[in-house]
Amino acid sequence: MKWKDKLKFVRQNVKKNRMRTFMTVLATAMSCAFLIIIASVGFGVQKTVVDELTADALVTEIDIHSRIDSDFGQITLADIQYFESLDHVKAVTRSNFTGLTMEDDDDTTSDASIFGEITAMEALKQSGKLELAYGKYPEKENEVVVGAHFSDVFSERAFRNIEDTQQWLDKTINIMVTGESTTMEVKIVGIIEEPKKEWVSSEQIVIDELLLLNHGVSLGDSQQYDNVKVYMDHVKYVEETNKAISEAGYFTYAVISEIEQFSSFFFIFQAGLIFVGVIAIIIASIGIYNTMTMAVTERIQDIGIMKAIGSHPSTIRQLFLIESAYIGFIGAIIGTSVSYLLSKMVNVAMPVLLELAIERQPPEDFIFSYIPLSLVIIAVTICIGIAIISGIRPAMRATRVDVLKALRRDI
Amino acid sequence: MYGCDFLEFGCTTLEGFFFEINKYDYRKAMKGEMIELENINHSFEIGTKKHKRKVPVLHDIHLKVEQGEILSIMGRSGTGKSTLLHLISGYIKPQQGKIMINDTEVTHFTEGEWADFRLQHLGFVFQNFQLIPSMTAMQNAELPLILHGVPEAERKNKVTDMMKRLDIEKYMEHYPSELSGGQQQRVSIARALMLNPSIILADEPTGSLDSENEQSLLHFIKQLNEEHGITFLIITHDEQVAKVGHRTLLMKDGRIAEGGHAI
Ligand SMILES: Nc1ncnc2c1ncn2[C@@H]1O[C@H](COP(=O)(O)OP(=O)(O)O)[C@@H](O)[C@H]1O
Ligand SMILES: [Mg+2]
Repeated sequence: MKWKDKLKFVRQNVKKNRMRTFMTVLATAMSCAFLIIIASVGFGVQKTVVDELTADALVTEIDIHSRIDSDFGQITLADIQYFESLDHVKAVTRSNFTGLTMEDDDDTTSDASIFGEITAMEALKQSGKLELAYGKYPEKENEVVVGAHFSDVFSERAFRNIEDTQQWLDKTINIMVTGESTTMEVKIVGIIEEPKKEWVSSEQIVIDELLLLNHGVSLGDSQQYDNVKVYMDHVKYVEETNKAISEAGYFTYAVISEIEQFSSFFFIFQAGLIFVGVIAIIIASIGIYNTMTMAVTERIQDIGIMKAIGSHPSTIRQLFLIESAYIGFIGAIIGTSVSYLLSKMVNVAMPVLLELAIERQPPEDFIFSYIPLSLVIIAVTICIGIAIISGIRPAMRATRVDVLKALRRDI
Repeated sequence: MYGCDFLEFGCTTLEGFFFEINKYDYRKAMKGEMIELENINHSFEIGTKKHKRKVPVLHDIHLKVEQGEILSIMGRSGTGKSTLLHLISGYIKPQQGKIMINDTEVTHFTEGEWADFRLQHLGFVFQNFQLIPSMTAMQNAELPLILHGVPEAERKNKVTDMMKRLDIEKYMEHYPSELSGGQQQRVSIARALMLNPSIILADEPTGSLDSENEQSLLHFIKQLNEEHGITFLIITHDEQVAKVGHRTLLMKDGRIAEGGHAI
């Protein structure tokens, strides 16, 4: 029997009991949609909440204090290069702090003393740790950014007002390392966001170490770094990398280690969703099993006739398996389309509902339900697979139909 | 390829006709044993699992049917005529003895082997026609061709030709419930002939027909036999019907009482 004819045959059979087929397809479609929607919420929440959270500098950060040896050896350039060579390391930031003196151009006031952070600017930019409120990231070595409260440097008391600092944007100033005589001209191109902790003052000026290097200025032993941090490209690599660095002989600290169940939480969350989805699928499969059993019973005479004139048992089995797969397929198609619609609606409605409920706007471009292609493929495969599995027993029963009993012995 | 269907009258030359026959089965143009039963005994088990009882139905059956023969089988009700035919059809398995059909030993065939063999070599005509109620006359007749994997266009041609020949082409789109007994039987004959069987097994084929339809069926059987050498086994309780046969087998209490040996 040709495949084309088998399909035609099945389609004709399915139409014999439209109502029953419709109900079964409906049940299958509903459970398929249920599975997709439930998983899509899992994916959606993961995508917006978790991915954002896990990409955050805070959780991907590994703090490196010093080497573990007798004199707490400071981190050198060689160590930095070693960290950078590790897999999944996004950036290694390092900085030294020093006092700077800012020269007043027109000598109207006395020179101001400011707090300087000498850093590897490129790494700092890559780490994602440097977040600007105004301006742009430095591109040239003589471009610098300043803290939100930089203007407090010139006043008696601390106003902690970023608006005051804004007037310094795009200004060019002359600075020198306290105790050195080389004057360096730098341009303020960006202002760092205000610190989250209100009591913290942020008055520093962040300068690329290359600037000092090119001016021949050194800070004591310039090969050593104070404030070294390794940033991973995903939170999932933090633990193992932290361990590796620690075992290589450094004192390290990663915030994420404090949140022990972090990764298992999401596993449990998703497993729970999958469990609920699987229950839905099982219910649908019972429906398909029931429908197919009834179809076989109903068609015993047809099966008997077909066997009597010479249709192979495997053909009979295939016809019924195709029939249940067909129900699963149609159900999956409808279920997928419905879940796409529902997903769209949920994403539109959810922020509104959330706003009403907690009187707070959810984060921007917050996705509540997200349906990746892989989810559709998996759900459709599961649906059709389960449908076929549900059809196996009825199909086997069909192949075992006794010709003479089916023809009621009136041959 | 079927340009000169062996059932078509349109064949121009005798040579062409035989050529076509040879393609189907060279035996059709030859004499020889078509069916051979040796020492068949058969009994049914009845009762519950605890109280089983064997009911012997067939005893020491030895039977040879020649190629191109029409064999009528008669006998009282319950003497095992149908059981005999069921053994030859593969619907039940022989418990003892040997069955040869068309030079093939079928005694130990599996269900699948039987299915293929039936499709290719045997045609069936039933008392109650056994058409699938949800299929049209056309689809019912087409069924063996579909099972055999014949392409659609060719199927349509064959079925149409056959139905024309049986004078039922007007009813192709009718469902069995919309046909008279005689028409239904013609559809079932069309179905039986679709794959050019060498044997047609008929259990009371005229049992549900009026005398007019009975006569035309018998006429058609004769015609098929004479023109195409198809072997027939026909069970009947009607003397008139039995006369169509070259030989009549009389069964009594599960034994062959008369006509067991080929003429
Ligand atoms: N499946 C069966 N189980 C038990 N007994 C059966 C079965 N089929 C047939 N018989 C018995 O076998 C005998 C022969 O039946 P059958 O071949 O149908 O007779 P006939 O066709 O000559 O009227 C009957 O007595 C019938 O009761
Ligand atoms: Mg009988």
